[in-house]
Amino acid sequence: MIDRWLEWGPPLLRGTALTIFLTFGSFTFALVLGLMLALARLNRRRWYLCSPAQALVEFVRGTPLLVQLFYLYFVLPFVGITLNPIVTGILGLGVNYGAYMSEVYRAGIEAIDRSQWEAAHALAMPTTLIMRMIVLPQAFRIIIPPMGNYLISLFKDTAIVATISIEEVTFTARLLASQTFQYLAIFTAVLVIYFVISYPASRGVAWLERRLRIGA
Amino acid sequence: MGEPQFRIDAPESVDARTGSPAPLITVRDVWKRFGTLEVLRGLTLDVDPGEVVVVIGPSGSGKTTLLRILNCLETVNAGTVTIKGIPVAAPGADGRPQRPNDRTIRTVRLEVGMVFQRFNLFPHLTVLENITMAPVHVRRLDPATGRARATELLQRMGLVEKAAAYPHQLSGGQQQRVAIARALAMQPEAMLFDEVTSALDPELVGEVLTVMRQLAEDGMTMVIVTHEMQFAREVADRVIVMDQGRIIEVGDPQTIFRAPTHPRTVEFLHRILMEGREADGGRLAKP
Repeated sequence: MIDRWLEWGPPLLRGTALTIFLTFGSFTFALVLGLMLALARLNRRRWYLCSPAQALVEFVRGTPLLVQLFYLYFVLPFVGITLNPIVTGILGLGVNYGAYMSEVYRAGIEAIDRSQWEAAHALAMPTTLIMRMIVLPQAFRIIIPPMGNYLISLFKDTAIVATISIEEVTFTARLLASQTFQYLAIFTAVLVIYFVISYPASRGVAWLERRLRIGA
Repeated sequence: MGEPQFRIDAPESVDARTGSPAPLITVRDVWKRFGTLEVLRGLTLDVDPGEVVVVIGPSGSGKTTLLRILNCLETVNAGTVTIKGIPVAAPGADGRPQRPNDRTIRTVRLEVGMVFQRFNLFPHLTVLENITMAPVHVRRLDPATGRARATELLQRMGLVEKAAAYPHQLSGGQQQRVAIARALAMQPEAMLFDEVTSALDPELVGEVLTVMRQLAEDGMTMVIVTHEMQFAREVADRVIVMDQGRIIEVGDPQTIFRAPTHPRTVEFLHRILMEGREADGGRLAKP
C-alpha cells in the first residue's frame, strides 16, 4: 500500500503545484482585467469604452466556462492562433473570472459615498486622480472579502482545464486511476487535496472580513 | 385677479450687489430647479475680496444650493455666476443647465475652497495626508513643502499632534478643523462654509468657530451658511437672509439682528433665538 502512494504521490503533488500556479496566474489576470472592465463600464460618457466592456461581460457571463475553454483550445487553431494549453487555461479562466470580478469592482466603487467625490472635486482634483487616490483605495477594502471568495472558487474551477489536457491535479488523478483502476483511493485523495487547501483559505477570508469590518 | 396677488409670500428677490469695481464672486439672477422644486428664484449677489458674507434663513431656503453652485457642484437653470471674472455657471443656448468644461471648473475650484457639514475627510488617509493630497497632486507642490505647509496649518488649528491620526480617531470638531485646514492648504482666494457646525455636538461648536473667526480676521473672503447667530453677528461684514429661494433682506449684522425689516426675518430670528436659548442655556445671548 505504502509503495503505491510513494508512486502516486509525486505526480499528484506536481499536479497540485500546477493547479496552484494556474489559480494564481489566472487570478492575477482576472484582477487586472476585472478592474479595467469595471472602469470602462463606469465611464458612461465614453460609450466606445463602456459598450464593448459591457458586451464582453454579458457574453462571458452568459456562456459556459467549459465551452469558452474548448473554443480557445480547439477553435482558435483553425484561425491560426495556437496557444500552449497552460496559456489557454490561464486566459480562459482569467477572462471568465475577470468578467465576474468586474461586477465586484463596480459594486465596490459605487459603494463609496458621493460626498467623497464632492470633497475631492472641491479640492480641484481631476476625476482620474480621485478614482486612483480616493475611491479605489476605499473600494479595495470593501471588495477584499468577495475577491477572496472568488480566489477560492477559481482554485476549484481550475479542475475544468483537465479537459484541455493540462496536467494539473485532476488530470493527473484521472491518468493514474485509469492506469491502476484505483478510482476510490486516488479520487478520494484528490478531494482531500482540494479541501485541505480551500478550507483554511476560506477561514482566512472570513477572518479578513471580520478584521476589515472592525477597522472600518 | 392676476397672479401676483397670491405672491405676498414671495416678493422680488433683494439685489445684493456691492457696486464695487471688482467683486470676487458675482451671482446674477440665478434660478435653480430640482425637478419641479424651485430652489433658487432669481438670486443676485456680489462678494468682494476680503468680505465675510453670512447667509442665514430657514432650512429649504436654498442656502446650501447657493454654495454648491459657487463650487460648481451644481449647474443653474438661468442666470450667471462668475468667480474672479471667469464665468462658471450659465445655461446653454437651449436654456438647459450646462456644465462648464472640466478645466474651467478646476480653475475655479482652485480659487474657492469648500467645507462641508459632514466634514467628508478621506477615511483611508491620515490627517496629514488628507491635507497634503490636493496640494501635492493638483498644485504640484513638492511633498516636503506640502507637509511643512500642512503642519503649519495644523498648528494654527491646534491639531499638530494629530497629524498621524486617522479621521475616525478624531472628534467631530477636530475633523471639521482638519477639513478647514485641507481646504486652506490649496491657498484659495475664498472659502465656502456649508453649515459646518450643524453636525457637531454643542460643546464642539466653539473650537470650529474660533478657527473661522481667526480666518475672518486674517482677511479671508468667506461665504458662510450657518445657524450660529451670535457668530454671524460677530464676523459678518454683511448678512444675507434667504427665504424660499430668494434674498429677502441684506444688511450689516447690526441692522439685521437689531432692526430687521422683513416680517419673515423677524419671525425666523425670533424662532432661532428661542431655540438657541432652550438648547444651550443662553449661549447665543452672550455678547
